[in-house]
Amino acid sequence: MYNKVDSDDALLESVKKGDCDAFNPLIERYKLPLYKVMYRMVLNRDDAEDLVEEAFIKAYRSIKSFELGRPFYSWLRRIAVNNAINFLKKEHRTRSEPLEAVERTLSDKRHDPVAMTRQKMLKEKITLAMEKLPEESRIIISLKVEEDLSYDEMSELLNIPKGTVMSRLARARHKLKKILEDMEVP
Amino acid sequence: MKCDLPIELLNGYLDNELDDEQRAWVETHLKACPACRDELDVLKRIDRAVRDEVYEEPSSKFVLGLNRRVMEKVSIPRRRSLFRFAPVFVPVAAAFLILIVLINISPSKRLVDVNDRMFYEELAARQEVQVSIPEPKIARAPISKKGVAQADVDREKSAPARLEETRIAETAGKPDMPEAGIMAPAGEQVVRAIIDSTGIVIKVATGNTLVPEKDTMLENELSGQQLSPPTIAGRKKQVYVDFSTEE
Repeated sequence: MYNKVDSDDALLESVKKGDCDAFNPLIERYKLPLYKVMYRMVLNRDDAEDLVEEAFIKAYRSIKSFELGRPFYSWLRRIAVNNAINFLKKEHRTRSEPLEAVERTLSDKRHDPVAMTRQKMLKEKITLAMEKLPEESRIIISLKVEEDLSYDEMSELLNIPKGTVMSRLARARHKLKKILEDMEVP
Repeated sequence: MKCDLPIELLNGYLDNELDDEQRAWVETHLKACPACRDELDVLKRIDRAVRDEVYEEPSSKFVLGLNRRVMEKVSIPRRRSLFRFAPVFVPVAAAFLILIVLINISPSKRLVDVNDRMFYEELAARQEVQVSIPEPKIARAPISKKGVAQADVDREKSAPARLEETRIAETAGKPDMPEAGIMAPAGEQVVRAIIDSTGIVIKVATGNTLVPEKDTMLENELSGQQLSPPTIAGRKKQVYVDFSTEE
């Protein structure tokens, strides 16, 4: 049996040798961090859960190509982020739900908006503002904020030059700020 | 932000991604620029708010059942897709298609389309084909020219044959004399030649019946004669040329 203290590499070595049980602790270890990244990218629980599941399945199936000694989570996250980007591209083509509908859905969840604290309102407005952001901007902000990745790491993950990361992130924050200003968030 | 500090530099400063020189420059600028200090504060607050953003907790199905679902799916052998044959199938299919195309554009195998024919006058006007053909051995008297185009004929003692009307169309599947749709009126003298797509005469028939007969002598004489490659609709094609004459 494997446990929480086993290192990623030790588990991965067993998985590579054909012991699929060794993959379980890795799922347990990384499913929630990965879910958070996916959720911030797609802003939908079911889709985020599906993307996490798909990422683990893909990772398992291509485990032979993984080089021991490298950070497993970075590799897994790369698979997941690429999946999510593809998903968002498809979703973008087929999406018909207008933003107002999303807004309405969120409003429905607020039983008494007046009673909400300012902080709570701000958080919900941030969620709405993130929804309004273009996917490209949302992805880069999510990776920066949720994972606190460096520009180099984002450059590698998204396969774009570091300078592009820098300008894309700056633009994304600027857009988010504008959206929040339009929503009259102080 | 009203000043000239590039927004990328301010973001780089916030993210601690600047080198020492850039960082020192931004810090100096910030000391003197309240607008940029405000902007930096706003960016920090936005980052904090995004970090604290409410997100839906994952479902219990996800939290409790993900391992089992993943392991179930990875233990099922993936359905063998036909695409696994792609590395072999695609080149073979491509080669087959190329072969088909080559066969189809080969002059000797082309399918006939009797409706796809053109009048020589039109071709001659476009200078696409210049046909010179001797008068057939069985030709009668010199023939008056009615069409626009004319092929000068100079064979033995016969007078120059003149083209009354020439029709050009794609040839039949085999390099044989086409019939349907291009039959000469009965009683008219016909010289019919097949010219391949490079302009070489490869078959000749003559006669004054609806379907001219192979004229070996004339064919021997004309075979290999190089003419301008005939084209139809911009494509070089094997064509047949009818030289209908009247007595």
